[in-house]
Order: sequence, then C-alpha cells, then structure tokens
Amino acid sequence: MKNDLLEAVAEPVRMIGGIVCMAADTARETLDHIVQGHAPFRAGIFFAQADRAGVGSVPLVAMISFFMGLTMALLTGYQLRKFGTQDLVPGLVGIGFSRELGPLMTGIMLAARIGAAYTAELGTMTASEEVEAIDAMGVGPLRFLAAPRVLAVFLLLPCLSVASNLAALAGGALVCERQFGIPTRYFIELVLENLVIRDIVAGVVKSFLFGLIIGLISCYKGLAVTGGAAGVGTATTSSVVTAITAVIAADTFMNILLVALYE
Amino acid sequence: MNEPRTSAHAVCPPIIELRSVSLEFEEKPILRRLNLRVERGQRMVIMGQSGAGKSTLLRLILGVLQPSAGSVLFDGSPLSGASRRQVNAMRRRMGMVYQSSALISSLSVRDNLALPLEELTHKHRAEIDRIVEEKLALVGMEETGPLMPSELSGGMRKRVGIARAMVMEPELLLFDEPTTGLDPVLAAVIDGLIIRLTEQAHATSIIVTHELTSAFRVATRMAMLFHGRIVEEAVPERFRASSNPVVEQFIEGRTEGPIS
Repeated sequence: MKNDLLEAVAEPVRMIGGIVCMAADTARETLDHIVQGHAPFRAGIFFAQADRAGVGSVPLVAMISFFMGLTMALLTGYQLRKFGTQDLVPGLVGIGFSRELGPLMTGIMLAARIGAAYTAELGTMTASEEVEAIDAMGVGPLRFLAAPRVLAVFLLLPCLSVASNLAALAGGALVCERQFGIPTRYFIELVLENLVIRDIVAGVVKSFLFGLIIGLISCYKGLAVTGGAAGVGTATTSSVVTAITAVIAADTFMNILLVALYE
Repeated sequence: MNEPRTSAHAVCPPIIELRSVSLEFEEKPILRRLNLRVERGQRMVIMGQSGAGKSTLLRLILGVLQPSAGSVLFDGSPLSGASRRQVNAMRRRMGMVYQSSALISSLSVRDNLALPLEELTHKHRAEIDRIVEEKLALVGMEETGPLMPSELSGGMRKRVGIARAMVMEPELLLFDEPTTGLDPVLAAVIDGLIIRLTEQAHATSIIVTHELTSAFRVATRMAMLFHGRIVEEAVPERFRASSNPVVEQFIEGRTEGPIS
C-alpha cells in the first residue's frame, strides 16, 4: 500500500524531471550547433510542423470555438434577458474567450491533435531505432527532432488562440443578432468596450505556456517509448492525457497568479 | 639496454578497447568484466547466442549506453564519462549499420545519406550530392536516391544503410547482424560489400552476428561472447579449431553443452 503510494508520487516526479532534462539538453544541443556555425535546425522541418500544428488545426479550432461561442451566448443570453441585461453577453463572450476559453480550448484541442501526432511519430521512430541512428551519427536527435516541433507548437498556439477567439465571437454575434436583437456592429462595440488589455495579455501568455507544455510532453513521451508498437500506443494515450491535465493545471495556476496580480 | 618498440601495435592504441566492462539492466548482468581489444584494420566478428549482449556491446562502443563499471576507449580516449560534445566528435568517426537498417522513414534515400553531411559539415550541396552518389554507387544503389525507404526491399535497405554509414568516411564501422533475415545469395553480397568497403576505406569493422557462414567469410579475427564475457578470441582458423566447449557447441550447433 505504502509502496503503491510512493510509486504513484514517484512517477510524475520522474516524468517532470525527465521533461526538464530533455528541455535543457535540447537547448544545449541547439546552442552547441549554432556555436559551430550551423543553423539551429532545418527550417523545412520547422515550417512543415508549423503548417501541420497551425494551419492544419485552424478548421478544427475555428469550428469548435464557433459552436462554443454560439452556445455560450445562447445560454447566458436567455438568463440575462430575464433581467434585461442581454447587452452583457458580448462582453462575457469576449472576455471569457480571450482570457480563458480561447487558450484553454485551443490547448486541449492541440494536445489531442498535435500532441498525439508528435508522440506517435517520434515513438515510432524510437521503436524502429531511427532516433538512435540519428544519435549514433553525432546529429543531436533532440535538436533535430524535438526543437522544431516544440518551437512550432509554442509559436503557433497563440495564433490559434486568436483564431479561436474570433470564431467564438462570430458565433456569439450570430446568436446575439438573431435571438437578442443586438446588431453585429453594436456587438463589436460592446466587446471592445468591455475587453481590457490585461485580458488579452493573459490569454497570450497562457497560450505560449500551453504550447510549451504540449510540445515538451508530447516529444518526451515519444522519445521515451519502449516496447515496440504497443509501447507507441500506450505512450500516445498517456501523452494526450498528461498534456490535457497539465494544460488545465497550468491554466488554474495562471488564473490564481493573475487574480493575485490584478485583483 | 632495451630496443625502442617501433611496431604499429606500440605506436597506435587499439581503435577500440573495452577494459573490464560490466553492464546490468534492471539488476540483471549483461556484461561481466569484459575485456576486448580491436586493432586498426581488423574485421572483428563477435559471435554469441541470441540475447548474449552482442548488440549491447555495439551500443557501448557507440556511447549510446554507459557501462556500469569499467571503461570503453576509442582510439585511446575514454568514451565512457566523456562529455556529450566529445562523444559526438568520436561518433562522427564511426559508422553504424543497424539490423533493421534504421533509415529515417520520412526522408528519401538521398536525404538519408546527406543527413550527417548537411548537419555536421559545411560542405556545399553539389559536393554533398557527389558524395551521396559515390556512396550509393559503391553499394550498387545509384538509382535509388529519390526513393523513400518504404519503397525498398530488405536487401536494398541494408545496402543503403551501409552506404549511409560510409558517408562520413568513418575509421570504425559497426555492423549489427548485417545478414540476418537475408537469403544466402544476398547475404554473400552484403558480406562482400563489408570486406570490399572496409578495405577500400582502410577502416576497421566490428561485426556482430550469429550467422556462421557470414562470420567466417568476413572475419579477420573472431570473438565468442558467453555469459557476459569473451570466452574465446582468435583468427578464424584457430577459432574454428578451438577446443573451448562453448565455441565447439556453437559451431557444431549441438543442443547439449554449456549453451542452454
């Protein structure tokens, strides 16, 4: 019983330690390579990953955020209309998405879509000795494989958050106009009136953090695969679950921090 | 007064030396105080039953694994305990051919060969292309450059794997079961390539295998790994005539004996 408890605590600690070490080794390999007069990594790999994580995720993020913005406006609007305060709906959708739901939902969607893909891809490469072959050549596998992937999702998640916010606002605007008689132009005015810079900054900071978390966890899980095809499957599931949990935990932590800072 | 020693043996350190190397995986001993010297120019074949630790030995030489005790020296310099940068510098002087070929599945054959040249040297694209074509021609695969690894047969993948191991002009070539799973004719072709390319490049080879025909065909020296130690090491003729019961049983393929 005591051993089970210790193991349950030790496993996440080991994983966090492993991820921190991987991040440090990736940075060191990349800096070493730059010092030797080379590009940090192949631009082609970075752009391919950015295209996959960013452009490829826009339809999914936009569609889900549109429906969520629509639902949020619909549910809150019906309640607020009872008190004649349906004009609060645009601000609620704007603040809710730019500060909280936009980065969070985008993070969860990317953890599922891109995190799983990264882990499965790197896991398959690990299981088939491709990663070891890259290492054996003296080409740092962390710099070559992990760095462009982590950087791509780190830089693209804030952009996708913006797309998520815009799609949610579009959904909210549609409901407000059709159900509550708020014209789109007035909807936009109300959003801009209620939205403050710190909400946008909070959303952007969270997005960068979530991108880093997803990139590091998915690459770590992929590169740590053992046990062939079954191991790849297990690692992919674990990667998605871990990344989503970590994103939600980081969001909570950030909210506590931001409330302490601003309120 | 003693004459100064001038033999090559005295001047050059062995290209690989394992000194009292031990390795455990989850407390299970794999190698036990193993000693091995591989001199320059040799084609050392390491034999042993499946799971004896032959591939592990290659990974120790590559620095992918670290010994629990003892030291691995490459050209007189310790690999175990060296910094990441030093290990990478040594690895650039080695080439490894994997049992599975381990070609990067997302890169074409050309890009697989060009990878170390593009990442580790400052050579121009034209020069890299020339080297890639030259190495592919050495293994008879000059037409395969644009193909993806998934489009190649097992034998073709092995040959591309050998070409990739050669692109950095390594001093030491490591082969992990190079002929396992190939038909006898293709195995002979791969063995011929190992001999020819090693001699042309004046390189040293360490070949891990349990295929007897291939082993005796390519070896200039042979070693038998058993229970984590080298129990016999000799030139092929003496190895074949060895009275060591492990070697005798392995060569004769008997079921009775120390190998269970």
